[in-house]
Amino acid sequence: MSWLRNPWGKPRWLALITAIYVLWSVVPVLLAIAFAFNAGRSRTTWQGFSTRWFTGPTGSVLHDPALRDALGHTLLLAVVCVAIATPLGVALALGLQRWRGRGSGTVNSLMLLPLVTPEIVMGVALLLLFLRIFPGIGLGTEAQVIGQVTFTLSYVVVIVRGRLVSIGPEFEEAAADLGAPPRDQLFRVLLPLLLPAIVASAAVAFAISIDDFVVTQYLSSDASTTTVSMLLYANARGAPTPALNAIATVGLAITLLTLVAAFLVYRRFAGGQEATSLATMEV
Amino acid sequence: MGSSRWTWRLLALPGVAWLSVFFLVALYAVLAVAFGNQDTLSQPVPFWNPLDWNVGYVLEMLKNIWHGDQFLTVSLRTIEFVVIAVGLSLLIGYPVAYFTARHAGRWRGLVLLALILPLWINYLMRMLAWINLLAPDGLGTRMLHTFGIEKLFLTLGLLAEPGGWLNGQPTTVILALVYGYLPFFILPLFVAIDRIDGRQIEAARDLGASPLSAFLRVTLPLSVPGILAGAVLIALPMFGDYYTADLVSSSTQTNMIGNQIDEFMRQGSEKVTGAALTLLLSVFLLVLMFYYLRTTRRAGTSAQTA
Amino acid sequence: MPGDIQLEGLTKAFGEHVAVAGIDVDMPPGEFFTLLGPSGCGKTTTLRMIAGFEQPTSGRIMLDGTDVARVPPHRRNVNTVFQSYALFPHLDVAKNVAFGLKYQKLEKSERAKRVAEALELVNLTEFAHRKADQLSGGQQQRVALARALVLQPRVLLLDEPLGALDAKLRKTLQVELKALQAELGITFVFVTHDQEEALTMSDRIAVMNKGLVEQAAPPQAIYEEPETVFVAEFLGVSNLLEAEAVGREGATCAVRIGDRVFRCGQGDLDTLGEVKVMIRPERIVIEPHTEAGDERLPGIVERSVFLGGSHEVHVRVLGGELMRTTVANDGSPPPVSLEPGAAVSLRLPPEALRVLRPSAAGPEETVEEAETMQVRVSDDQLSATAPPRS
Repeated sequence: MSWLRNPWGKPRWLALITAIYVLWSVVPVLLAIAFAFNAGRSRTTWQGFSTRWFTGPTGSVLHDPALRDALGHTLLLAVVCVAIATPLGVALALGLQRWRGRGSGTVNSLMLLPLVTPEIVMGVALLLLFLRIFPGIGLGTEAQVIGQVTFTLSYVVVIVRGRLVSIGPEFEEAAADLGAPPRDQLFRVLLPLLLPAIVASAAVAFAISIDDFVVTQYLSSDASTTTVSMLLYANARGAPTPALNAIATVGLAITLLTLVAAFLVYRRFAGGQEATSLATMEV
Repeated sequence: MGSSRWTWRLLALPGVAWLSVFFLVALYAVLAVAFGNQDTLSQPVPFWNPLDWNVGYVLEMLKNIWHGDQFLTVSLRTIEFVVIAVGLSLLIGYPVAYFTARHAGRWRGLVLLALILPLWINYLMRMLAWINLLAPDGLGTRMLHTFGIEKLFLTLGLLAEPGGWLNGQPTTVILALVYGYLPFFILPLFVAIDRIDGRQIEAARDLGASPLSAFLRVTLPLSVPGILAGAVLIALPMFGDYYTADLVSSSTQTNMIGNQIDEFMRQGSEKVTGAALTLLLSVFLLVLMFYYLRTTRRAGTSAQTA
Repeated sequence: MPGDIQLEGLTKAFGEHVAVAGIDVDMPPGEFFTLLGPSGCGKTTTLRMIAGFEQPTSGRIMLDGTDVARVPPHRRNVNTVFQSYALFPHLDVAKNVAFGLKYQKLEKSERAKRVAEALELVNLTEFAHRKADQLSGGQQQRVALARALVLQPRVLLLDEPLGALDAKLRKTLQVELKALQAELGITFVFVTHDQEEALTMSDRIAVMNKGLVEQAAPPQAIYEEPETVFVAEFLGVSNLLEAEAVGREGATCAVRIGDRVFRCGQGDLDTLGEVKVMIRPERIVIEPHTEAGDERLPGIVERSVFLGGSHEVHVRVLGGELMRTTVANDGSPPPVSLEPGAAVSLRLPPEALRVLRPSAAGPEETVEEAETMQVRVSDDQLSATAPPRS
């Protein structure tokens, strides 16, 4: 208890609580990942090491059609979502940041609204939208993509806009001063400077899309529109094999790799401190 | 550069159009269905014109709540779960955030990494991990039994039967909510505490305050905005959560509002009632949402010098 | 090639706040012209209007006879060196310098030649392939210069380019910039708040205050013949005395200070009534105390500050004001004791006394005035009451 006497000493109990929290937070997931490599069928008893649930001939992520299709569909949604949300979001960020005068506050609030709307409200709203307003599109892959874009858009805008603010107007002014018309100011100067943020926001949108559950589930139509998240939800309480752990692990690996790559890109081009605040999702 | 004023606004147009159509209109659809009617096939018939709105279903629901029926029970239970979960999150989360911000020293990067990691792990995977652990033969169940914690929970009435963690236990649901949402609370709290100028605390100490006193009179008050922001940030999704309760509890005894809505919308044929309930939930949460928007907007418009 | 600028009635208001309140300035071609003033005086806003980054609320900007006030910046033959240099981080030095050449319709070989020449001009040839963040502040500034000059503009605008550099580097670059301007013969419009810098480098200075131009003239005139109180105080040290002008006396103006009469040989000689009278510290002569004598103000020494090359002696005179005088440290003994408390006489030669108008921007309360009590004391009360010190 030396910290009582030393007024500058670090309280050890805080460190203890933090350590316990970190363990409590991370260990269960590590165990789940470990059991993905279980040789037997149990998810609770260790029976030896094996990669059968990943690549084995039956019941594995690679060979079981249900698992494979779910993974494929998840990636499909993610790629298309990013392809749409990123340009849309970058344009919106640029427009919003430079918007002077009336309307900018409203548009800003509109953009932030999806971030604070509970997922079930989004899910219900989008479900009704595609049932009653766009029955031509209906439920299914297209609807899932549209739904995902609608809330990942805000993440892209927030990330890109943060970078825009720190860039400031002077590079474009310098470009204009040197003779560049507005179009060149954007393409020769602003966008190259913005590239790390664009890449980072695309990676974030990708990760969010992969892990999304509620909206994706609500807008799904049949088995072909199942994603990894939906699979996990449907089978978690049943009597599944460690293949479930395996597919979750694969999804996790993809997400983490994407994010690490984005973090490194951002840090290389935009500085370490900005990258940290990006990672902690300072909105 | 007058003409470029409209150029910038034009750039924003596609995004605004998208959000208007696929978000605002979608929200309006909830209104139109909630104030709509049901046809003979039990499919919802939305009333688009506000003048035609049929308040029947919404009134039904309000009456139900007022008379203390099913919806009231669920609502109260949801509030209870969320309040306890947020409270527990504060209890666990504040010390962790505080430690990381002020005392982590050379471990800071590593600890931050550990705090950030859960944010990016699939929520359902994290729940799956617990389902594995708390299964009747699971590692977690066995350890809880060995260390007497199970006994403690049994005596406190927090657990109904030995090994029955996943059998409709409110305790499990609340703890799962805490587990699920805590990372989203700790990080903004960490940022808020980190931003507190250390010199203010030093000044307090210089003026004679003990470490505890300096904490209570300087650090804690200064971190209140961060606490509130974090609490709102996790309370909002918690109020609409259904999958957590669904995964860690097999019983409808632990149903939250989200579960109720989910039943109506996807499982039952009561989409109108579902929409009405969604509407009521949204109105209830409106206050929280606007509070968070205001504080975020203020932070967003001032230039971020990270 | 010309490159003369005329600002006519130039005004800029940001909502309620008027940054530039209608100025008329002539910047002849080929000169090193400086806009000098404290922060908030409107000098940067004026520069930005000339560059095209701000649109004037009213007025004209004539560049070689054409009004360019509504012309967007990329179409003006004017280039800027920014305070923070604004070098493009994603391009190396050579590409930065070459950036604007794309819009000048040159052959590739000609472009490369010009870039090489520009880099040569600023002594950065071996840095051509470095990135901006690998350069020091001084080097970045030179890249910014090269980037602007390679386009052979008629006018170069410089917005406090030396502000971010340390004192020694700043002095070196001041000389280099001045030499560059003389060599190139183009008009430089330079913004700074540092009066020493302005005096060193400029052919002509416009002193600005609260959105207005107090005076525009060559450095020597600004220093020796300031037209307003603000200009007198902003450049160099000046001593200001409250006085009452009582009329012309030949080539001078007679003024009353206290119950003495002085003659002023400079300034607004035909004024009557309340004026301020100015004299530079180095023109005051300290003499032993005498009762009689024209042109003499009696006082008590308050303190003497050692400045290395000289002593700055603060003397409290009978009107209550504090006069600052300079006594050179040339080894010879001072003419009179300079210990605090010593009684002295200050001789104010007419040719160095100047009658001043108040500032163009309205009456200024000088710091001295705010601190001192104006006490009119007659000769037999030599010691004035000590003023309240903040």
